[in-house]
Amino acid sequence: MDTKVKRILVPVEGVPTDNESIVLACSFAKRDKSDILLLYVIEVRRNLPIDAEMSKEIEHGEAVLEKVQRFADKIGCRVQTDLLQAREAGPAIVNEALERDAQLIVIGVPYYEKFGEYAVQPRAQYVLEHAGCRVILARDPLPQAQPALNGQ
Amino acid sequence: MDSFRPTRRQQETAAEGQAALPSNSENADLADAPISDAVASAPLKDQSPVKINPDLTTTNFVKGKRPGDVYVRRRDPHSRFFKRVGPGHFVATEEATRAPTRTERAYREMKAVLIGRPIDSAREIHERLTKVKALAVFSSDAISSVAYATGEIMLVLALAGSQALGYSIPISFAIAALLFIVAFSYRQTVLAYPSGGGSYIVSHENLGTRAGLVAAAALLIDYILTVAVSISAGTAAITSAFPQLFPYTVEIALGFVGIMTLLNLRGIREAGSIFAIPTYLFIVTLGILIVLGFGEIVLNGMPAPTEPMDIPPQQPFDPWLLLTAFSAGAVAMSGVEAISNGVPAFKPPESKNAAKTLTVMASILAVFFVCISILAVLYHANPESEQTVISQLGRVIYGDNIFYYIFQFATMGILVVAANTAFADFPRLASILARDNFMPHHFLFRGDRLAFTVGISALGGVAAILIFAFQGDTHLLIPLYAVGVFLAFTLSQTGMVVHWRKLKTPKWKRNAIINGIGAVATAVILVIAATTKFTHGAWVVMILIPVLVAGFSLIHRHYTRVADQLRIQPEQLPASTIKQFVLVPIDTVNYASLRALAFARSMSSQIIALHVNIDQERTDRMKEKMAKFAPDINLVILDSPYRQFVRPMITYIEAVHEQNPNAFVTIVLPEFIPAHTWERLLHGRTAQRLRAEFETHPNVAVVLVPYLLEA
Repeated sequence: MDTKVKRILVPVEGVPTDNESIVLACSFAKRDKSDILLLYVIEVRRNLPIDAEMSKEIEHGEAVLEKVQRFADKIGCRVQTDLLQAREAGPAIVNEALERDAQLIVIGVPYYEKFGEYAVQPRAQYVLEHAGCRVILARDPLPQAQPALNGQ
Repeated sequence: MDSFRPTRRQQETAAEGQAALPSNSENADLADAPISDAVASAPLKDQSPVKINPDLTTTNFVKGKRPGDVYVRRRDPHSRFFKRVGPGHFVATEEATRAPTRTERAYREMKAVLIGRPIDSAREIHERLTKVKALAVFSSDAISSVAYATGEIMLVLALAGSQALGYSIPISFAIAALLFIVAFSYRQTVLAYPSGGGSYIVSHENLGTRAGLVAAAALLIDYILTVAVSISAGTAAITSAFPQLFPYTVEIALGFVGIMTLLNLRGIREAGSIFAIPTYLFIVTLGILIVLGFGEIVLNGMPAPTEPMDIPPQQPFDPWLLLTAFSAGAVAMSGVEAISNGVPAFKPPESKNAAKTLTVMASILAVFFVCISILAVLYHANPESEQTVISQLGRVIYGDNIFYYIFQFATMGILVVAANTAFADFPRLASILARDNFMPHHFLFRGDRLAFTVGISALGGVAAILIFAFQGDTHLLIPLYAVGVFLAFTLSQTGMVVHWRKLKTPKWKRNAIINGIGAVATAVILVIAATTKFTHGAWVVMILIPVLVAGFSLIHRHYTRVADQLRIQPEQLPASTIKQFVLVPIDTVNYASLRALAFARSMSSQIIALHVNIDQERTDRMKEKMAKFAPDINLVILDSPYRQFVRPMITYIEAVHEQNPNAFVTIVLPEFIPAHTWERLLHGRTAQRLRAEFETHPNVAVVLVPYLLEA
């Protein structure tokens, strides 16, 4: 990457690839002294108001953010966290990157097959298609490949 | 998070509708400062409800790029200070407890250097002691007594001449047997009472409150004396080795007390690590000494006396002398109860680990004590020599070389750290007594390092006073010692007899007999010690114990009375709301007093603004301003021809209150706070005086409405 990044957005979901993406984001952040913003998006069903008090989901989101934050601390990386409630995660991530002036989105994608073929998950697909900034995907290794970095 | 008090400018920009009104500043020029038109024209009432989110989160609606796309950003701006663990439930982080001012931060930094960084309560379990460290923490008192117990026995026997010294061996065996009985008794206590407390708990539960308190008083005195005696003895070892330090005995001893106090304030685990070194060094060097001593006898036969020892008899040998020698040597048992008091400090399973440690400690103590007594007789140690018995043995067996000095250093070390047993147990026992409402609740407080800060500091303080009063002289302190130890033993073992009788567990008769024998034996030693040492200082303890017990009872009565008065009784519940009227003492009308009146309006519709007139001109100005800015408030003028300000105001408030004694009077006082501390000297403290005056009034609440002045 040629240009420096001031802020990196890392959407997390509470899956093993979260840590992969954090490791990747941290390597950029250390190089460019950039901020890392962790993002967890709660998808709100259409039959609920967008600001509905979804205690369980909020609690889960906070726990995921805290866990990833701890991991980031462990590898010597300071991060900020944000929790969003949106109808769909993809547009919220793209918009948040814009709002927060992020120059890079690092997004973890689990290995995912659709109709027997590899496919990018809809959330990551949307981000890839619509994000105005750079996007890096951190994909899970194939099942027969080496174990993940985090060992979650 | 530094200050929640808004400055005037902040309020003016933030407020959407402040009501205007009064103040009681003493400074006429300041108080009469003009009120800006912006404020004067502000709407009288802000009726909008205050929105508060106790979960401290904020939600922002954010518009997306696509039409109609909206999402919510949930933020926790205070997450640095509070970790949310559930709805309405937070954990304050270290950041939340950060000192707000530079002075306080500097103080905390200094404290951190001295006693360490605060430890999270959740780490309490990690601060527990392993068996190896617990042996060092709780047994240094008991094991260190090996250093002088044999000498004490021989010193008494020497009164009947050198021929009688041989009796120290059977006496040592008898004490060792008694030690096992007492240790076995305490082993049962440890298993039966896992929350600790030792003699106090056993006596309290089985013999009644009074006996429990006597045991507690005896133990507390014992612990204080343990610190004073052990540290004085350790200091004496140093001053003996370096006589030029003798004039500084008290200073050195007080220094040791200070160091011990600080080390214990750092927390039990770290204290364990530090104190393990001298304890184990003593155990190892004494063990080697015993092995070498007996090995020498086996290989080369009995040693010949190095110098002729002929102690002439001063009195005939009789059973009383034997008993006196026995009671003198029985000081070896002091400290045996330490583990039973400190069970909660052990790593889980606490009781089993404590019981094993107690057995190991009693075994080490008994073996060392008996072996030292045998070696002392076989090697012809002279109790009346300037050297201690154990030092004579060291010099003969090790030779006058580096090993002897290491052994002497270890002896000095264990004598000093023996005080640590008391530092471990005194605060714990005090906390148990505080929990039972017999000591001030401050003793329950655990400081930054999870140590019982108040207990440790109190012990250090009292021991330092004792050392200062007795000028660090061990011989003056020792006679005070034995009575407390054996009184606690006797009560504890008697309590255990009752315990077995009550529970009737398998083999209860055997256990009761063992404890009964122990109780009788320790009671006999108690009587002998009290009789022989009465005039030497034991009387002080015999007076102090009932005084302490009376003190405990007095404290308990207070806490009981408080609890009785605060207890919720379904038939006597307070009304869900209380009728109140508000009184706002006003000196002059300014910005701060207008805020106070606004605050008063939010509390009640019954508001009286009260002005004490000592200057007619000012009063007229005040009335004018009141009419302009607070026409809705009922203003009462109180002329005070004697220029008294506070007293007439209080009398008036009392008179108003008499009209409706059941109603609550809330006195709202505007108070401005200068930006700098020194500036406070430039203002009177009327608000504080009024608050102090009404502090003890049952139906009056005083509310200060602060107004922070800008620098």
